[in-house]
Order: sequence, then C-alpha cells, then structure tokens
Amino acid sequence: MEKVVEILSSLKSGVDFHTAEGIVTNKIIDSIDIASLISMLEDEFDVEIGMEYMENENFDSAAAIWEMIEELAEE
Amino acid sequence: MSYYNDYRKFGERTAFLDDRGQTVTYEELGKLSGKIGQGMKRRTLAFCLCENSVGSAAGYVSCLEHNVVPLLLDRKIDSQLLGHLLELYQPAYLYVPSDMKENFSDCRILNEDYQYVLMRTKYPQEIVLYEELGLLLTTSGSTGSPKLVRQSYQNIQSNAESIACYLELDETERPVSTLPMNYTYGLSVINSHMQVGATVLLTDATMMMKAFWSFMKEQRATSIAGVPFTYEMLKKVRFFKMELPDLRYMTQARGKLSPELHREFAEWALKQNKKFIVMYGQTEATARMSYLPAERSLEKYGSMGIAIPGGRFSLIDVEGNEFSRPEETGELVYEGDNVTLGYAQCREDLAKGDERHGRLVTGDMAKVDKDGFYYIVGRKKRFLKIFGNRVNLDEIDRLVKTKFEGIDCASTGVDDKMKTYITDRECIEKVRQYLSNTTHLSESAFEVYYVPEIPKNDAGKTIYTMLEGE
Repeated sequence: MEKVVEILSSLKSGVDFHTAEGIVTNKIIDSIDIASLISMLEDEFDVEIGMEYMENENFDSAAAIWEMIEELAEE
Repeated sequence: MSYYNDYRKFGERTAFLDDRGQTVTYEELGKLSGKIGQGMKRRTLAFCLCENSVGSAAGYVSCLEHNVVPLLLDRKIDSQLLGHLLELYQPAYLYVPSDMKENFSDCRILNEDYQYVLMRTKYPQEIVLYEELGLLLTTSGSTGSPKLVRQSYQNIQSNAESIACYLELDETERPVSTLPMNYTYGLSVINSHMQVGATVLLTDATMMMKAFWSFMKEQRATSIAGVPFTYEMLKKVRFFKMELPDLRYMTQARGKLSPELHREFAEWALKQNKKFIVMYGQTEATARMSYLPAERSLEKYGSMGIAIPGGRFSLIDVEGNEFSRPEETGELVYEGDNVTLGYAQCREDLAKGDERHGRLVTGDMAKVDKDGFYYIVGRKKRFLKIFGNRVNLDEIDRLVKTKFEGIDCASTGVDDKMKTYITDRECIEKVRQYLSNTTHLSESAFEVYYVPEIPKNDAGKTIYTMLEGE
C-alpha cells in the first residue's frame, strides 16, 4: 500500500494519504488527478483498470485503491 | 426573437434534466424563470455561482429573460477571490446553491427553488449598465482576475443560432454537460440547444467515473463536448471500446488537440458513423468562431476549420495589414455579430458601450491552406490553457508576488504544464500548493523552480527565453 500512498502524494501534496478518507467523494483529488492516478497505477502494478472499477468507493482511500489493485492482480 | 424570450413555445418538451433526478419542461422553466425573475429589478447586476444542475441553469435563463445582467462564476471559486469580485462589482443579487446560503448571512433570501437560492445583497440596486449588456464572464476564472468579458444580448443570440445551424441541431438532441456552465464553451451548449428546443442533460460527475457514463447511457445522451484533456481522458477510459449507440457527435474546443489524437477520434467517428467536430473560440467572441466540418475532419486533421456561419476570418501582418497568402503565418482576426463588447475591470466599466464593433484581433497566430482551412500555429498573448482553463501568466506572477512577500517570480510553460520560477528555494512546495489551491487546478499542472534571480532586460522586462533555458 505504501506505493499507492506515494503515488497519491505525488499528485497532491499536504494530505496524509495513510489516513485520508473520501478522497474522491470529497474532491481532495479531481478528475485530472484521477486520470493521472489510473495511468500511474496501471504502469506501476501492471494491471488494467476497466470501467467497471471506476466507482468512487474504489478510489476513496489508499486502502480502497490497494484492495482494488490486489483484486485486479488476482484476475 | 431571442431564444430566452421564446422558449415557452417548446411546451411539454424537457428543457433540463440533471443527475439529481430533477427535470423541467420548457413550460415549467417559464414559470420557474418568472418566479426567480419577479424578485429582481430589471437592469441590475447579479452574481450566479454555477454548477451543472436544473436550478443553476434556470437562474441563468431567468436573468437573461428579465434583463438582469449575470456574472457567471464557478461555485467552487476561492472565497477570497469571490470577496474581491463582490467588493469591486457590488451586485444587487446573489444566486447560489442552497447549501451555500449560510456563507452569505448578511443577504436576504428572496426565493428558493430547485436547490438554489436568490438573495438580495447589501449593495445598491442602482447601477449604470450599457443597454445592450446581457452577460458577464471571466477571462480567467481560475485566478479570480477582475477582468470580465462583456457580452451583449445580440452576441448570445447570434452565436446560439450559428452553432445550432452548423451542428444541424434539432429538438431530438440530448447533449450531456461535460463542461461547467460558467465557461463560455459549456454555456454555448445550453444556449444553442435551447434555441432548438432540445433537452440538456446536466451533471458535474467526472468522465473518469462510471457514474457519468451510467447517466449518459440511461439518459441516451446524443453529444459530448470536450477540451483537449477531455479527449486524453476519454482515451484512458477506453472510450473507443464503449457501446454508445445514442451518441451522434462530439465537439472539441478550448485549446489545440494534438494532431495525432485529432486523427484518432476523427477515424473512430467516421467508422462509427458519428461526427467529430473540432472548433475554435474565445470568450471574447461569445463562444465559437470556427468549426471543422465532420466530413473533412480526417482530411484536415490539425486544422481548426472555417469561420462559423455569419463570421469571417482574416490574417494580418505585424503592421496590421491584411494578407491572403496561403501557408503564411499572421495574427488571426475574426469579424462577426458574436464579437463581444469589450472588457470590464470595475463596476463603472459596465456602462461602457461597444468597443470592438464586431472585429476581434484574437492574439492567436495562424495560417490558412489553399482550401481556406485555418490552422493555429502559436499564441501572441501570455496565457496558457490548463486543462481547458485559460490562465493568464502575468496574473499568476502577481498572485504569487502578493502572497509570498519579497520573492520575485516569473511564469512560462506550455498548455497543461506551467513552469513558475521563484527566487526563494524554501517556497517551492508552498508556491505549488498555493497555485493549485487558488486556481482549483490539479497540482500536476504546476512545476516550480528556484532561480537566484529573474533575468530582466535594461527596461526591467522579464526575459522569458532565458528562463526556459534554465
């Protein structure tokens, strides 16, 4: 999960992504950040994030993102 | 007759539908507009804090219909920047989302409907407004610059008619709002589709999320509008693999799409029997000045097309002389009824008349090919388009120097990537955060570098070319 936190921190400074919740719902990161985030996650973890995963709940915290990545990696 | 005085004729057809489940027919919109309008005195000034919702769009229509001049701002505007604009222009009314009304406790509520509230401010109603002035938009909303574009009623109507004509719009269209309505491009979608009695689908959901695509599919959206970054995002969400049987056309403006991406979308559209239409415009021309007809999109990819119906382009040399030699670069000039009145920098400027007389020197450098198709090749003015938002670089430098006392600053860069040079190494991260927070634009757009000194010539002017070499 540390790598996910690192990626999020590179997009938005001044936020503790270890504990931050609602990062998409509360617009801590915006659509442009999400676009960058998806590319970075796909490159880093060698996964393809399909439209079925593009739900707020999958991106609302570093833990949720990590959980999604693990699920994708198993597929 | 203007569309905003004539839309009731579309009766039971749905005018607006949003992702909160709210809808209004054209007839209901007329009643809602009347209700909002009865609280406002004609020829006064209102600030509207916009979102893509039924209430927000209805407030805009009501202002036009009741001759109240609205300034459209993003509801997410920084509170300090809003405070500055309020003090400077002193509007008689505020029209804001209901969940923001507590922020304006010194204002009196006049009406509340569709999750929007109309409020009377402490400022006087009396104001001298030029009789043709219909609408105010910011030149650079993200920096909160007080410089506004003054649009006339004729500007709004002529551009709406022209767009409806070249896009061949009819009442069966259902565009989905992919851009904020306080941006001229987003607003032009509302204006041009109301002109023909179509249904405008309103959402603030991001294209990166499933919720947007679910809304679009459920509501059978027929078109989307995007800035260059939108099309980059569409490619990321694997747009080319999506099943979108109701989609008829896509438009692109607010910055130059890379020729490769232009070609990719044009090819896809041709294969899918859809239209991909690249356009060019500025707030100073109400919205649109050119379009590249869909049937030429592949043949002429990279081009911004030809002038819209009722408009005319020309190129001028450094001395201001018009020339018509193909493939030679000059400054692009546009003439048409949609050329706006001019700028305002303060409340008193709202009394000013038409300063442009239908002719706009765009500040963009362009060339024309032998078939009469125009190509943007550069920019004369100091601004960038960051994810479709125009950001004035001089304004950025002023903001940074004001916020961080004692440091010198100069900004440069390319679209979607601004480079700001500062003379205090310790402030690099703070400046980057400040720029992102103030403009409400992603931090990924800003790079901040330390330089011991901002290079300047003998006259004190910054030598940007030396910075770019740093």
